[in-house]
Amino acid sequence: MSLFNRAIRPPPSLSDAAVERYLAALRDEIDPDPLFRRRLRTDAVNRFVAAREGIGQPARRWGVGGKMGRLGRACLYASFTLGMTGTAVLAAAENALPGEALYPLKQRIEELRYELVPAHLHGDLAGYALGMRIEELARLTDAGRIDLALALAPAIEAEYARLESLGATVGPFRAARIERHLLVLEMLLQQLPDAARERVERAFDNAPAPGADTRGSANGRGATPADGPGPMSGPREEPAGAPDRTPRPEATPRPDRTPRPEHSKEPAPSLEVQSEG
Amino acid sequence: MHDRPLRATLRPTFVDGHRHGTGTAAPAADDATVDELAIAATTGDVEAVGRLYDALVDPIYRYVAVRVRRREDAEDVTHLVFERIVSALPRYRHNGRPFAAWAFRIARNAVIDHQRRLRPTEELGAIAEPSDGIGLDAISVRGEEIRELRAAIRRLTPDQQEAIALRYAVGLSAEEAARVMGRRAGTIRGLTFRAIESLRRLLGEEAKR
Repeated sequence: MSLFNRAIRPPPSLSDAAVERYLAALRDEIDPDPLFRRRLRTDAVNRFVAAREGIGQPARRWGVGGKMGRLGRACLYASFTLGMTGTAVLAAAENALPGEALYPLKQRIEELRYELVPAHLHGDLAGYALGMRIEELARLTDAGRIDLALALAPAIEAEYARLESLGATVGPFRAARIERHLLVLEMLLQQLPDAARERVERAFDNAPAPGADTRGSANGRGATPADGPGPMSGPREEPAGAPDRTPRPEATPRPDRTPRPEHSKEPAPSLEVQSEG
Repeated sequence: MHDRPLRATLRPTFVDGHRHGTGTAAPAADDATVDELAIAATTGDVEAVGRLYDALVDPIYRYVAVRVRRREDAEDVTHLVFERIVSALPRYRHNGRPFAAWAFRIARNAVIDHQRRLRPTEELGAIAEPSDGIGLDAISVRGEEIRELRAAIRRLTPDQQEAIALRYAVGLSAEEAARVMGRRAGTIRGLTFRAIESLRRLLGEEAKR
């Protein structure tokens, strides 16, 4: 033991009060790591929602009179049916990006989910799909594949339009999640290089407005890059990325940077209805 | 003796559905008690679950951290505790007993399970901290003292360890700790008294080396 420690630690003949002070110091030293605390919070809230919706209930409960929630049952059926087609391929497809071989399969899986899951849960699926498109946009941007990222704009717009049309079946929690998706989208857009951001915004402007019939097929799928060149075909031909970074006088003031700020402020009154109705 | 060292932090935790004025600080307007939050959570209120988590995570983590050996274990066990709490929340029915007591009983059982799992591989009487440099004291400026204290705590009986963890790491009163441990408050006071006596001796021995 160092001299320093000997000087600051309690003396050998400790009083009860000194031990208590010592113990109190221990309390101050023990706190969860902030990152752990944040991650666990998210996990706890998600787990609670899953339990509330009946997803992930212990299997034994079903056998003793418990009832699996409708969403859980629907997802189970859907997962089971889809799982029959090859789990490994499906897992790989889930991570596929536009332009990759498995991306059409990913889109097909999303379509199948709509067919397998009851109609009142389609709002959840639409929220999930919108989040997926935004995540794809982020990954493509990170990878420097700006042209493909730009091509995703109509798909994101289409997913949002579908989400709005299905809004009546979305509960407050999912409305909040949609809000978060839109916030993330806005943040992602702000992180793009100026030139790329302008083109994405232009693409959003050119995309069909929410409420219009944006579905690319009879089963309600929105237009996607794989569906062929859409309103994005013009910008896609331009070389994307950093070279075009010349400051433009008109690009500096950006009062309306978000594609549709009104959506992120108000997730639409119709979204307040609970899905379990 | 020990008069609720974490009273402010745990003030809402063990209040049975209503607030007690301490005269020290007025609660915030939106400062719902843990029991109120738990009741809201059982109705599906997600925000209440988040706030419930915020109120409980630090005390539960501290309790677990004092009773296990490594930070990773503390995090794993805390994770498990909240997994069990939130999974059981939709079925929770408030019967007038503090929700926090229920939550701490889950934590207590999780720690006991954890210790049972470790026991076969643990050396008999081992008190040394792992030297991987990632123990609880890694963030401490008084790492050596904390390590010695934790080693000393580990030499107490399991009941004494638990009493010390609940009363000092979490900051519960003897009555509150008694609810968690399923004992009488007098028993907890006795356990605490003997634990402090033992710690005084153990730390004194360490200092003479």
